[in-house]
Amino acid sequence: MMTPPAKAKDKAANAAPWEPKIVAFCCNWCSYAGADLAGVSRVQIPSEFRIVRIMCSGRIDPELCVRLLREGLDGVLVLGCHPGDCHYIDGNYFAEIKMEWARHLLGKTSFGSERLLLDWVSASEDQLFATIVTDFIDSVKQMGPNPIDDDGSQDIRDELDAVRMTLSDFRLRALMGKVRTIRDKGNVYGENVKRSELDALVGDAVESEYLRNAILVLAREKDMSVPELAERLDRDPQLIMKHVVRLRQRNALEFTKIEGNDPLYKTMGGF
Amino acid sequence: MTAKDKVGAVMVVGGGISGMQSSLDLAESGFKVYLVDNKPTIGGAMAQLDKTFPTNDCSMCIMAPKLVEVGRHENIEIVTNADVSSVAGDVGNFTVTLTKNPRRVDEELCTGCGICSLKCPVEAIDMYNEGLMARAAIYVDYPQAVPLKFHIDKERCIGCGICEGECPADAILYDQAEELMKINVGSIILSPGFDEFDPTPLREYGYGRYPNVVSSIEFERMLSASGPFRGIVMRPSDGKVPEKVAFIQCVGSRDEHIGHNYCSSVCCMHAIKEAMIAQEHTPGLSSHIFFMDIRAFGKEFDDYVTRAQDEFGIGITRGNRVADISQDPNTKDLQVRYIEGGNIRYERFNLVVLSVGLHAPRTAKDLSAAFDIELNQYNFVDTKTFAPLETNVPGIYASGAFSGPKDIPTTVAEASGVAAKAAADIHEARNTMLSDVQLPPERDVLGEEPRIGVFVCHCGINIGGVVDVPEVMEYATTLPNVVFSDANLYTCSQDTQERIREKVEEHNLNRVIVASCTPRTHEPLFRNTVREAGLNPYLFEMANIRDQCSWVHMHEHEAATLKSKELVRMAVAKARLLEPLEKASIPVTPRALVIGGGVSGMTAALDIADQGFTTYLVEREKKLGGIARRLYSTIRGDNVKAEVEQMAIRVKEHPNIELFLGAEVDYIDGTVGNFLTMLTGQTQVIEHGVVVIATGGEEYEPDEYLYGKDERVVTQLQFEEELAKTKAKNLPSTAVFIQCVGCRNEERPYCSRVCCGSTVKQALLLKGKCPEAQVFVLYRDLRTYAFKEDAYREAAEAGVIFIRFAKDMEPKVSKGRPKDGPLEVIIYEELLEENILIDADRIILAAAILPPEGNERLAQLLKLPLSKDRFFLEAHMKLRPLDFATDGVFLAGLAHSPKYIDESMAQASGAAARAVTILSRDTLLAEGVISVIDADMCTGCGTCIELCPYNAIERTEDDKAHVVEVLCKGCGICAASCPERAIDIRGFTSEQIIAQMSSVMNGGGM
Repeated sequence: MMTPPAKAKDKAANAAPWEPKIVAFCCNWCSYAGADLAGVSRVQIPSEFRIVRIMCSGRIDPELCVRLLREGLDGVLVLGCHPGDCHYIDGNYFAEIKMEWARHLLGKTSFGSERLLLDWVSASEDQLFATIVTDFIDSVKQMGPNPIDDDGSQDIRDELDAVRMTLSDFRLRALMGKVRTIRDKGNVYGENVKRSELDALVGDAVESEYLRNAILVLAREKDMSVPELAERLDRDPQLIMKHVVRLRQRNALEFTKIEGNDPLYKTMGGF
Repeated sequence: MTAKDKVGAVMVVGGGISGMQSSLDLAESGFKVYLVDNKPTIGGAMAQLDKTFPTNDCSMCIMAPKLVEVGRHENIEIVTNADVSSVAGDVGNFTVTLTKNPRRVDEELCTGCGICSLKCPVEAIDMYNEGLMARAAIYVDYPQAVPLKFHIDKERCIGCGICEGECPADAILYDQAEELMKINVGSIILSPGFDEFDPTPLREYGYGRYPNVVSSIEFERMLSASGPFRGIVMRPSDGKVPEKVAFIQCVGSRDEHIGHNYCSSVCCMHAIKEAMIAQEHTPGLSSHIFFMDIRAFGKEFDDYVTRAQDEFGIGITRGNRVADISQDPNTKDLQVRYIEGGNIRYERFNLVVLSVGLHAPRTAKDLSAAFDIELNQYNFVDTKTFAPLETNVPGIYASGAFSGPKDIPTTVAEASGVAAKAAADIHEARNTMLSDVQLPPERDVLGEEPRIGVFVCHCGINIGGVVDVPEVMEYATTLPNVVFSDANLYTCSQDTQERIREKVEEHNLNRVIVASCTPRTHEPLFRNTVREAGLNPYLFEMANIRDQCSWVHMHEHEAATLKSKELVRMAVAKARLLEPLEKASIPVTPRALVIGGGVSGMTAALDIADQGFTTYLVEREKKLGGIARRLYSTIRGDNVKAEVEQMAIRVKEHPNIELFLGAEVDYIDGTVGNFLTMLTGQTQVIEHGVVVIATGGEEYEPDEYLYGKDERVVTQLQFEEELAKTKAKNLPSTAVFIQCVGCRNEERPYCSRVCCGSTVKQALLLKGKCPEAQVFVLYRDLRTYAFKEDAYREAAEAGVIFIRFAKDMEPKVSKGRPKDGPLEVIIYEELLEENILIDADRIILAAAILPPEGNERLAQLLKLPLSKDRFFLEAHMKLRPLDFATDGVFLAGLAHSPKYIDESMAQASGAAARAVTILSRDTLLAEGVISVIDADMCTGCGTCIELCPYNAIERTEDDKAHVVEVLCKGCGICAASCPERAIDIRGFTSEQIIAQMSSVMNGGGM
């Protein structure tokens, strides 16, 4: 587990101008090489980013990206090879699927998805590398510091926790792994699943798992009732009820007591 | 010569993609390789390309890993700046004398830092960028160059002495003299590539006079993101972005007036690619290509042409050569005059690209004289259909464009092919010439507290001029577990390697960090050093404070210093968690299985067997020979029957080949190094280490043009037999050949490649036997590429009438009247602009080549992909044409896509060479960076098994996922996808990545 970022403390201690903290994951074969070439060509780029080399953009777990944002990083950039160029045949497509999901989930939160970006850079695109990084730094500066540690950001923290948990969830990860095979090659019965059908299934799974995790996050600290949860999550109580039932089935949520007419629930240890 | 006189080394002359591939295949098969190039760096023509067709891959992206591999391979010695002077000896034992021209820079001392080039006051023309920009007189061609050693251009150098003063490595040698080298090798490969045709003499196109007329290779550099225009298409005359660009084909090709009747084979695709890329780079740009024929004959090339037209709206005119170009003196726009239908037309463009042909290399005659090899009339090496890789001198082979213009995948296949031939000559001497490095035993560091040494590099002034290196060095000592730090002028220099080894010992270091340049080029060097110091090579980490810091933040000294410190801190965070990685090894069964006994399968089997390995050859028919048994002649007049029979006899008599006729693969299991196969009709399982797939192709049975309804309508293969067996007086007096039957249509969009050549061959044979016969060829594009163009011209001169038809204007064939009268063929003639009627007594259909049915099952058994046209799909269209993503399985011949006999044989030899890179090892070593699965956490869901691009994960008996270590390439897709998060990647573990991240977040400023 990471130690909490030092920024919050720093901010109080001295009023040094804020500089964004941005990490760029670059794949060894294309984008890292493009970054190297930017150096060779002496393309000048603002310095507020750090590159971490990985072998393939497909190595990056979407949960890690969200975790980094949750821990206070101001921006995460994942740069892979252009479609078709991947050294590992199609790792970048998997990266694309994963980042789409992560961004989709972040888009459901008030934190938004703009602090996570996936893009492609080839080994000869020094200028493009510089442009993408510079634009991203600019856009992060526009957004300002990651609000995660601000007072009154409890909602955002809760939402990001829910996103993280969702991205760690077996069901979603399994779907994420299968979606391309099913789309391109058909399912285990050799049937072609309709694109719209698959998208609907996936969309539904994402929405459900996110809500379930959001419920678990809210019920971590305090016992919650269905109407309370519905209000906090801005959803129909009937829907929340369904999820509560599912979560109890999974032994993730336990009933504690009844207050007035409302049974209260609490997230179980380990979730 | 006895076996013990044979030398276990090969010389490869020419370091382009061909020479690099040959070198790697040989070096991986236990031979010493001398890779000789007359330029200061290797890389050849491919290094100049921006993108490659038909995938639009970035050329440098796909080539750079091979460059690096060649540069660091312990069995490859690169000799640059060298010309061949003379050769003595025979196959098995040649002595080659090289003249090594002075680089005037000490290759041992030069670190490639580039300070000399920055300070050089002389500007010279940069020929790597086709003269479109300037460079210094001391230079490297391109930043990824191998070897990365600077070079003084003596023609331009004024001898001012500045670089000597500036060079921190003292590597400048102004008085370096020419040097003679004698090198002893067993066989020789010639792959000097090609030179571009210089269009200046073609006055009608104004090249050299009109600034906005450029050659295709100049345009390639203009398109390149690292080229002179940084990827923006601009006119040389005024720097404006053009709106209309024309491409003019066949400049210096298919032109007998200038003595270049041959077709350059690649320019059609090259132009389409350039037009596409130009339009991608430049919104609003429209491009138009003037073709003679569109020769898109390669695998999936016709799809590419369709994309160019439909998706990109690229304009196409075909028919005649463009007549001339004139320039508007005010705007410098260009007017192109051409013929369409029967009319002369004019069109205005802002920029014109001349698709210049491939020329025999300028060194061809010198090489011919030195090696005593025969050239053809165009100065390319004269190879034979059934010996496509051999020169006339035993032991000397030719690969790539030196034996005729060809594209990259064909070249790469040949490059592997010549490796097989060169190796067969000297296979007894395998492993006799390899350097035997004695390494100290690896120290066991398990359980030790990390003791990290950090070496910070000044890189001359490259880092030191921007970053405060002493401050970074000081800072490093404050980091946890760092017990030593150092600053070096060049951390990569020889003496620093010695220093690192000393410091490891002195301070009992167990982790080493170098903060300098990029791990992509320098990590292997430092890992070696670390290993030589007695540590596991994976106990090493790099911080890239040059390419990704000092160079991109040149004017921000403080921020760059701060960033460097932080990059070092991140490296330390990771280094603390580094673990020694062991490479798993498995024994190899040194036998091959070749599936398919046609020309390709036989060639592959012979080439593997000739290198001393047992080969099982399986053919489902009762006879060897495949579809070639139905051929009688080639366009060059070979006797196919006799040649194939010869080959079959050699196969049957070969002591290392075990033949299974009338058998098929029933079941196959295992992975690279160790396969188990059951053949139909056999009781014994055969064990082998590799598989070569050479399942061939079949002729399409047409239902067009009355085929099957009138016996006078025949296929090419049927007519082949008729021509061979029928007396002249019984041959047809009017024959009509119809091309593209059953292919290049919606159902089968691909081109069958060989039909145009076969038609021209058959038309000529018929004309030869019956000079009075009337012969018509109805075609869409006549694709007689390379030297087959000579036969096309000959046929036209012999009176064969060629009529083009458009895709939706196919000829109509009917029975005619009276019933037994001639067949009627109606075709629209484009020049006359009217229908013409031909009374024919024979119609010959160029029927498509189809992939055999059995491909599907074999693909399933071996988990191999098929292309959408149902041919086998190779690992990479450009640079791995004979491999699959699954290791240990290789591909050749029609199973890959339609092709001629010589091309199939070259591929088959290539597949043999690729196979031998595995068979020649006792054991296979896995990578160090691979995935590991925690069996306790794995629930056996199978997600990773499906996702792995290399089929490297299998299910165990207790239903868990298990990594086959030798197949894993360490990409990490499985780890990032595992629903249970039970997978990690050694060397890039989640814990290590998170440690780096924590280090970023806990830092002060950023």
